[in-house]
Amino acid sequence: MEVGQMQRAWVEYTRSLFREGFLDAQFQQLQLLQDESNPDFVAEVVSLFFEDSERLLADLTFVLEQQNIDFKKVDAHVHQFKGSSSSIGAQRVKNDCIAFRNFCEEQNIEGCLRCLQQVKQDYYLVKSKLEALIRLEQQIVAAGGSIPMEELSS
Amino acid sequence: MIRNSWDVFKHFSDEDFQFDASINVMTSDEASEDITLMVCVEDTGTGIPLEAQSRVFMPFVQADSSTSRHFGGTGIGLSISKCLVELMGGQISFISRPEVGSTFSFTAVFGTCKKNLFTKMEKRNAEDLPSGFRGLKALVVDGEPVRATVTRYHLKRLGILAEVVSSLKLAAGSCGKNGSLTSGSKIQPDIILVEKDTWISGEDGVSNVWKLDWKQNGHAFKFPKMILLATNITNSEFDKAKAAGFADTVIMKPLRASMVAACLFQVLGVGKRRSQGKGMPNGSSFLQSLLCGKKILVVDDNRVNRRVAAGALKKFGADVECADSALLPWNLASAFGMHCMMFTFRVPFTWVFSSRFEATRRIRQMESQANEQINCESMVEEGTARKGQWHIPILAMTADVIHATHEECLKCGMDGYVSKPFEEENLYQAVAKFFDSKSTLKSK
Repeated sequence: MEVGQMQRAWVEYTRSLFREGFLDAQFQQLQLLQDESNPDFVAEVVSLFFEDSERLLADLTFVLEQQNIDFKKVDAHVHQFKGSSSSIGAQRVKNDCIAFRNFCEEQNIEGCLRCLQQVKQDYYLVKSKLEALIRLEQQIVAAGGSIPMEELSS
Repeated sequence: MIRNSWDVFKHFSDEDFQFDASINVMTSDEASEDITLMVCVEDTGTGIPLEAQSRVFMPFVQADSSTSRHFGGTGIGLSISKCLVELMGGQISFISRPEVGSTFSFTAVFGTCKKNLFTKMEKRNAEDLPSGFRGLKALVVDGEPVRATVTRYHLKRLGILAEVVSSLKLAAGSCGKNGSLTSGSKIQPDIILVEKDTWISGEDGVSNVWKLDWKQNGHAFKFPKMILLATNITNSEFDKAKAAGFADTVIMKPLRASMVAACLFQVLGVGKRRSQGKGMPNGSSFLQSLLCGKKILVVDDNRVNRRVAAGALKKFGADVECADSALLPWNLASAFGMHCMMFTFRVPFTWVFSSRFEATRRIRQMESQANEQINCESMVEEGTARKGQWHIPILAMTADVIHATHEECLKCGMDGYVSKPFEEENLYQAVAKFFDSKSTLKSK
């Protein structure tokens, strides 16, 4: 694929991610922070997010498997997850966390377990999509092109 | 300080303004080259009751017990002024009539200096103000011409051309049912600033009617935003104002150019999605001028958040360090040398309260210890308003921007909060207070 095609694909793909609610305006803010002095900003933040999230999901799974569930801990983890997903603009994950916290407050085990499933699902979805997006960006740059951010604001 | 006042008075004596302040050279002593200046300032305020007039120069005295409630203040302004004037070899006095106003006069003795000194004088910090408003046109609705002049002055400092009308009705008339076809000094304003008193004392519902009138004109000129100017505002007044179509940002008085800029910035909006029309401010250049070179410590227990916050602040030229809140005690020492700190903590709320409080408390403790030392030295400070007084602005970063959070912040000794994730307008408003160009060092 030549650069122009890849760029168009990038624009279409990014737009679809916003349209389908995987990402929100905060992600766009991150993209705008990326520039020559900070060329890998988005990829860096995203990979930090992945690492963080894997850990949080593992911790959450562990805590919810216990006989006596420590809801305070659950809430603390979910709050962290909500914060980081909000910071990168992972909208679905963030919304799942909001619902999750409500069930924590109510100490509703069923609800919490369902939410855990939901948030895992949405996390893995957005993860694969972000990975694809970043791969595409790397290909564009490797081919000597630039990422057409300005196309998104029209 | 004298020089600043002189500049201010010079502005006021521009042809544009008919401000009632006059400067007279009373005596000029050729031999000693001393000059006595007399300065008079006349206002149309509430005046000072006759029975209180003999006491107003005493510290902590206000006209009566309701003054502080209505106007704020602690009653030491005049006694300080008297001291300063007498230190400058002069005297202060006033004439006042209740319901009419007051005229304060003071004399001060100045030396003269050589003429060529002035060429080296730096131009006042006009360049440090945001330039993105230049060319903007404003209509000021104010029934009091002296007060309106002050408002115009502040707008002028931002490069905004302002016209004054004394009522909303006149504003509607002058702005153009006929659009730009009307002759004379009619302008098509980008923004309308309305004094709260003038609005309230006008007829009820005028502004609603007016809005309707604009819309009925049919052709597409954008309806200018309306902003209230007020020294104070109650919740019910605010609700009424919003219902009448005013922006939900009120410009509070006394006016400061940077705060006016921040409010206009928020109301007129900025951002990638909105069209950058002529005269629209470029948001990032404001934040850039405020944050460039400033050292900010970002504290968060989540490294994704730290990274994102740092990225955003670095974009505006800030020098950012991050710290994990879990390691906070060891990082407090690094708080010095910082222009600003931004904290975020996890909820639950009680945990947050005790951590924020604890951290902030310890910082303030260190500040007061440092202040005691500093008062002896002539060290120049960073991030503070007055010499010899440390006060690092501490802002809370929070995703839950609710009323209670704001009050909790203040209780903890924090100076304000910023919503998370950052939005330019919020960030600008929050930091504008602390990083006003006047109160900080020039950056390296």
